Amino acid sequence: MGIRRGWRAVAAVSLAVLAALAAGCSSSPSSSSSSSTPASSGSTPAATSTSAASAAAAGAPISVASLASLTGAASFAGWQLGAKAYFDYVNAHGGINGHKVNFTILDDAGSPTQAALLARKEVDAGVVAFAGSISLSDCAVNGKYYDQQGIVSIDVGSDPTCFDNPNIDPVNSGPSTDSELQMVFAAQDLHDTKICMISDAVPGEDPDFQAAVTGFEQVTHLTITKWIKDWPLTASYAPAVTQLESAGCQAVALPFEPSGAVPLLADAKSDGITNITWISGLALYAQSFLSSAGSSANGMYLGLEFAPPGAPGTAQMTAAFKADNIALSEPEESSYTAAYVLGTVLATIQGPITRASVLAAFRAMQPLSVPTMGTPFTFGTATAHHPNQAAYVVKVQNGAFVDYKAGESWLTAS
Amino acid sequence: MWQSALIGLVQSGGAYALLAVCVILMYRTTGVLNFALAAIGVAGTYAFSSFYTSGMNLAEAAIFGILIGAAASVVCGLIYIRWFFDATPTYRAGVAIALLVGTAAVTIRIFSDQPREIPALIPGSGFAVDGVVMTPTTIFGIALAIVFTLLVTQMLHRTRRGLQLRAISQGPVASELLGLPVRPLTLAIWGGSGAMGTIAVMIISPGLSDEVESISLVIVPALAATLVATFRRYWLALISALVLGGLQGLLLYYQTLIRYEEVIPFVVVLGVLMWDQRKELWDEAR
Repeated sequence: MGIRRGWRAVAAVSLAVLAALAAGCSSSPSSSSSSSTPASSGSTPAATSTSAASAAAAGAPISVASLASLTGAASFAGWQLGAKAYFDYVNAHGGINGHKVNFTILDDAGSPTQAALLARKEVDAGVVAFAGSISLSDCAVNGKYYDQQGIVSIDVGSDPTCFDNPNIDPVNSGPSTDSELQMVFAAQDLHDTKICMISDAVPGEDPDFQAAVTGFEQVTHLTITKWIKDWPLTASYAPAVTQLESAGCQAVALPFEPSGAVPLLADAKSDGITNITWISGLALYAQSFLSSAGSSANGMYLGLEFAPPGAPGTAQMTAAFKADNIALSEPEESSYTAAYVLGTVLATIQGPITRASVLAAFRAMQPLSVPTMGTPFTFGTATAHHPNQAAYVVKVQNGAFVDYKAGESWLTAS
Repeated sequence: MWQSALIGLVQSGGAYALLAVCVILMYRTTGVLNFALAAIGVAGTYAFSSFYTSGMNLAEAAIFGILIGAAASVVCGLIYIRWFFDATPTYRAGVAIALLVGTAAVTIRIFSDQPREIPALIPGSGFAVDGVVMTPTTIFGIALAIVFTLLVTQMLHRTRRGLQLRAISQGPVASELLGLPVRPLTLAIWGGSGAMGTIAVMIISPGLSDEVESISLVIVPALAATLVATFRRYWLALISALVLGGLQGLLLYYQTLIRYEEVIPFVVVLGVLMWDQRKELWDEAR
């Protein structure tokens, strides 16, 4: 009997361990930063490098790396495929001034330790710059190191420290500008006066949203009508929808991931609420969101940090994505933009391409017009960088994204 | 304020009540505290969503989803019968936790974690009571919870099968030796609970984040309600579950209290346990 009891204990513990392992291997994104966790449409990459051997790219290869949280608590899997597509495209068309680009994507699994180790490993290995990094820890952990080593990172900023470093320059607008522009759009373009926001309970994001509210109130001279903060990720959205309607909100900024936006919009639709305009951002710009939200998303607006595919100037991006067989969506576009900026500046360098010459080129550069950004990319000698201050507005109509105003869809923070 | 409480009660309370009654039924008849009930319901609900979005009509998709939830539950039941039939409640609880995690993992593997449409079980706009919309699905959820509780209590105390089930809960081995169809009845309980759990999740999930982990954790308020009912009183579990839903809705009304909404079930659990152990504490103090 003692042996049977012991066997069962082993079986129970084994079952629990196996189940925990299975759950760990199938972790799903849980981050709800408005410009973070994607509705990814790309395949999950492993550490990968481009090695497209173009016969025309005969000079010494340029090493570029991207540090990303591909696995772990909040996964940005797929976002780097845009940067890879750019460098693959460039390599296939002669490289940068005859130099092939060796682009490596590294997974820090959301771990600060891993982010630090990988950055140092790559710098020691001779990378000249980082491009398209999107990591939970990179900026906070490696910012000072990049400054000490004189290396540039053109990244997709996922936390405030990315926007507060002399060597890191994010191409995205970040959650505070993103949400601010959504509310400014409601006031200036939709002429709404009762503007609200609901944000969910993701640790550390309240200061960004507070900055967005402050910026909105300064620009429009309106006061936000209602701001529901820290909505629990496991709670029903029905009470929130009722509170927003009771407050008389005409427009609501919704910096949510699809997992939150879909049930909230469905609830609003089932409650028969038609007098609220919902405005959100990049995270919802995906066909998978349209498919799951259905008609409940019709009439909502999205303020995108980058021009969508098909907008003027995006032909090269479309071709690059097609060549790499990547579905066009904003998350991948963000890393493509970062890679584009780096590639463009690398092409201006005369002489050896080293991290010193790259940094010097960025410090000396003039504002750069980037087809996918609404404001010029800048670097210079500033101690902090936040060049993207615009949103490209699209509307959801009949289950598709359409430009808000053809040719005039850029909205800037002013 | 009361609107927020009413929303919580109707949107979530019915589903919590269905799950709570199922948990007590399973515990009283099979001796298993089934932490995995909501996770099993998620599997059935995701199947429902997949069938519906692939073109099946709502009713057929719902029936197939419920059947898949029931089947997944029967599989879990078979695991218990095969390896843990006469295990102690502690072992069984440990296995139930493992099944919760494992079921959630398998669901993500099969259905992926992409956003999905989970349609309302019963379409229609319902009616409003002082600004609070009562949709057909939420009304159905509460009504079903009441009817199910009535059926379970009547079945257990007034039918021969109910008597057999109560005998099994007291001693499965002895019941089997006496010739009762222990294993088929146990599997029937697992299957029926799985089906009810799936319906509960179908009712509540359209208004929740569609992440598997989030929806699987709706078992927590249900467990809090079963604890208040001391794992015996079905009607008390029903009422506790409805009150818990209302309490969560009430907390969501106040900005300063929003972040504590998820804590409410744990506070209830702690409160009940401390009250239950009050004599021990006081005797030790003396």
